[in-house]
Amino acid sequence: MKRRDDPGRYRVRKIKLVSIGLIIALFLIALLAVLEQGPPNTYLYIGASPLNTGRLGTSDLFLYTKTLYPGTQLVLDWSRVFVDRCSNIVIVIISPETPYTDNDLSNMEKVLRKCSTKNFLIADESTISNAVLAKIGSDLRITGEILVETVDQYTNTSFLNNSSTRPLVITRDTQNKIFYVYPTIDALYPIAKFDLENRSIKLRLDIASRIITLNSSNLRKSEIIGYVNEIFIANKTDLGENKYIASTSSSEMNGHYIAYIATLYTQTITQPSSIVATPILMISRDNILISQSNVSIAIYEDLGNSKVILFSDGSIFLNQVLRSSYNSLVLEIYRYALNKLCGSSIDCIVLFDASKYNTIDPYNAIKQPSSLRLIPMDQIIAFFLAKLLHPTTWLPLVVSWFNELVIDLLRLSFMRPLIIILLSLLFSLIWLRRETAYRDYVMEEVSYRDILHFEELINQIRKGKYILHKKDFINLYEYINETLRSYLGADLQSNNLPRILSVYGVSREFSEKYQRFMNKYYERALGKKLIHKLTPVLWSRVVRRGAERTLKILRELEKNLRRDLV
Amino acid sequence: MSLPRDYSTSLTTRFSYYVLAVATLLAVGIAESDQRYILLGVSMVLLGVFLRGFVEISLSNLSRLNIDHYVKGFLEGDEILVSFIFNNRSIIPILFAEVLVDHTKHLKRVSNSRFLVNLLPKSALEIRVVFIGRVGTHRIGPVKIVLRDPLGLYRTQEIVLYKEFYVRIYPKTTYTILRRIYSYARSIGLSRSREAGEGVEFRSVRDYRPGDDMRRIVWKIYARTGRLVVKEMEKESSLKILYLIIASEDMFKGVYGSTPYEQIARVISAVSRYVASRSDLQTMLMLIPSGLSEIHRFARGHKSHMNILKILSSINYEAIFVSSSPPHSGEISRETIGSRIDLLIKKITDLISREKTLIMIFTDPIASSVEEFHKLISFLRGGGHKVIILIPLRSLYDIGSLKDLPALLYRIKILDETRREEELIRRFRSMGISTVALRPEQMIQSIVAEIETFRY
Repeated sequence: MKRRDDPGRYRVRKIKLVSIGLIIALFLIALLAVLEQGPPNTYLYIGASPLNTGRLGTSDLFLYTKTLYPGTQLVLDWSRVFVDRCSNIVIVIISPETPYTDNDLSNMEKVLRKCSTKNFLIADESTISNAVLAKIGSDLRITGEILVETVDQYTNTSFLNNSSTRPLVITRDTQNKIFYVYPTIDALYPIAKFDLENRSIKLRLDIASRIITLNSSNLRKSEIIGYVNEIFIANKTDLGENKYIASTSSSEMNGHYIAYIATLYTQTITQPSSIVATPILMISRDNILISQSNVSIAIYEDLGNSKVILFSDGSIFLNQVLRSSYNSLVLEIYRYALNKLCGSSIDCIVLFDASKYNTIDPYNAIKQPSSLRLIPMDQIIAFFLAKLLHPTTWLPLVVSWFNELVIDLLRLSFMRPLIIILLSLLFSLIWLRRETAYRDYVMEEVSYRDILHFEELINQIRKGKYILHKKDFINLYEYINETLRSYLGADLQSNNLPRILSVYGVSREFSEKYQRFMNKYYERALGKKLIHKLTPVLWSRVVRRGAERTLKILRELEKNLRRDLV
Repeated sequence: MSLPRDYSTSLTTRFSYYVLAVATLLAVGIAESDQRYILLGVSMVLLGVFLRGFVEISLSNLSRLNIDHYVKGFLEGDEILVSFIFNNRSIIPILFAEVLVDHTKHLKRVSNSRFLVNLLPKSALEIRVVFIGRVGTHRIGPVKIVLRDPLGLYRTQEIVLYKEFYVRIYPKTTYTILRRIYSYARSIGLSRSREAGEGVEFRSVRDYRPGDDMRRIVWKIYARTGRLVVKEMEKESSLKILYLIIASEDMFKGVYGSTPYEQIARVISAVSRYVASRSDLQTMLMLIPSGLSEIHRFARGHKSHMNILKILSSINYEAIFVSSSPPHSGEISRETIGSRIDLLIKKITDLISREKTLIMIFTDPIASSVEEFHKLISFLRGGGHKVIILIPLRSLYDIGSLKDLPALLYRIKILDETRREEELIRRFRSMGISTVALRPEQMIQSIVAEIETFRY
């Protein structure tokens, strides 16, 4: 804190207390509001969401679509889609994970009403998209069954030698028929054929379903774009861990393949010296699969003012496929489908649905190593940073810690007064740090002071700080001599001076003494005789004594002369 | 009255102690978890804010304050009463205001000049400051104000409420001095021209000469002697006087009311009144450290006297002591006369014609270098004018500040200086210049005698 005596001489710093205080207050209010809101709801997508940049997401497909059609948008909520009037719009749905509600469908319809032609590109192996298909009046439906490749594909040499496609077991039944047993998960993906305008593409699908037509007698125009030849169609419940398909290598029933859902047991045989577990295959002949031919997996349907291209496998459009060697084939199929729907117009608006996917909390993701493998590490780090930096994570801890610290400190007897002093000083310093305090003073009155010719001498005489010398005595003598001569006509050398002075009220005795005194020291001051020069004299005392006696005489003279004049 | 925008309120050191007390109360309240201390601390904070508002409101109200002044008295030695009327036209009071009337330090004040003022709404207040008059033009003001709150936590800067103005004080010509001049002049017959001529004063009788006015024949003498004689009257004499003051700042030093200049002003005032009553012509020229003042032509009567009084009362002590400030005021003053001697000669030439003029030069030892003056005097005497120089013995003008023994000791100490000054006067006289040594107790009669001897 600065102290100054004259505020006018120093510039006063303007304190921006109001603005700083306001900023601090707003910051604290915002902090409290954020705290009240609670921790951030951070979620990760691990499914086929366009927001998932991991293996199982469709972010690459979304970005690719945006390069083809700049009007591509992500839809996170169908009630918050803003589309101006458009001529052509395409809604892309890839493997949704949560069902469409009536609200979603009605919002979707509101959006589509603004456009003259409304098209859909749906790739879904589940039955979730059927609600959309039903809403738009399509006859196409996805069954939800899983297509399993016939084992014939997997019995050629290359497959038998490949560890990922080799059968788990090759066994024979009682009739010595060879069965090839494959796990239902991660195996026997069917190979589909896509007939595009110019060429055909063969592509191995992932977990795929099949498409059926509700009313085949309907005169709507439809076109099969993709199909699978001789394929088993299994229920989802037939598949899973510990579930296997046991199939023969050649078709057995009227040109169709047969397969059985098998369960593998492990039986423990205890032998005297060891325990051996042997797998026992239990093939259930009740659960039989008969292959079907020409199963549709991609159909184009023209509904008049709407067109639909439906794929019964969304997995082919995942990032892991687009990042593999099958990238070009898949994109060719995708481009063909989009082109068929959007036409050549670059103004086509593509709405990429991102609203129907499950999310997982990053904490839970960590607990499930299988999920962790699917999520990119940078996403996990970003989400955890957001969590960490949020005030709800650290602020209550800090406040609590500080509170505990203060309480512990206050328990110490010597700390209490110290804390009080420190707090007081801190508070004062903060408040007064930028303040400038001035010493208060009253305005000074102007005082008159004589300006004299010989001011220094007069001050010395007033304070008594003067030294009287021999010269001063000489001056005194000469002064009084002149005065007496001019007023009385007699000086200090005159014999009749005492008599004259007595007329003016000065006693003769005093006058005589005074005359003797003055003449004696005058001679000494002049140094007329040698002895005068040798004898020391305290001239200060002599001058003072002489001046006092002279003053007495002058007073009497003044009194009496005035009397005479008056 | 509009205030400058940058007037602001400052904190005083009391405020810092106040903050410390508030901080201590709050700290104790927090540490002891005692709400009373906290409440008290918060109350003090609010009080501080309120007091700040109090000062700011009063400050904003100053612009609505109406101030006027009037002055009573205009003669030296008399009480000069300066009054200021503060009129608060608003509904907001101005409380705990410190008001100071500033003034020149060369004027002696005999009352307070600082006041604590409480101006209620729609009310007026008068403050008075009393001075002892001194010849000259003196600055009164500015009037300043400082506002504070009752606890003295805040203080405004010094705000000028009312601008400075000047008061003119004239030398006093007491009737005692005038009577002395008149009676002295009559007692020695100095009021007569002693020249024969047209007039009303009887001079003598003489024999009749053809052509004389028949009405002047003294028939009584004819009846008694048979001789025709006529009354001869005294010629009306017309005097021309130029008062010339050439002064350094030493002329203005001394005891209050008894500086050489003030004595000279009284002398010139009395003499010019006497001269005006006789309808003689007179004028004045004054060269001092702050500049040259002049009356452009000779005049008679009351008007000439008033003109001279105006010149005498025009001196501003502040200007004089500023213009001849250290380090070498004597040299500056000498430079004043030395470099302006030609200017003076020109001014005097413009003023006076070939008609004989009595020039009374009032000067002091510092301003009057003998050689420089010789040139001026030679010029003037060459034109047939009579010159008298009046020099105050400045060493004697300080004695009034001492009494009794200290006064005598002072006289002893400066005796050599006094002798030097007297020696200077002797040098002027040896050059044939009429020179008068002025002492503080100088009688005006001797000056008047000089005027009258000049008439002849």
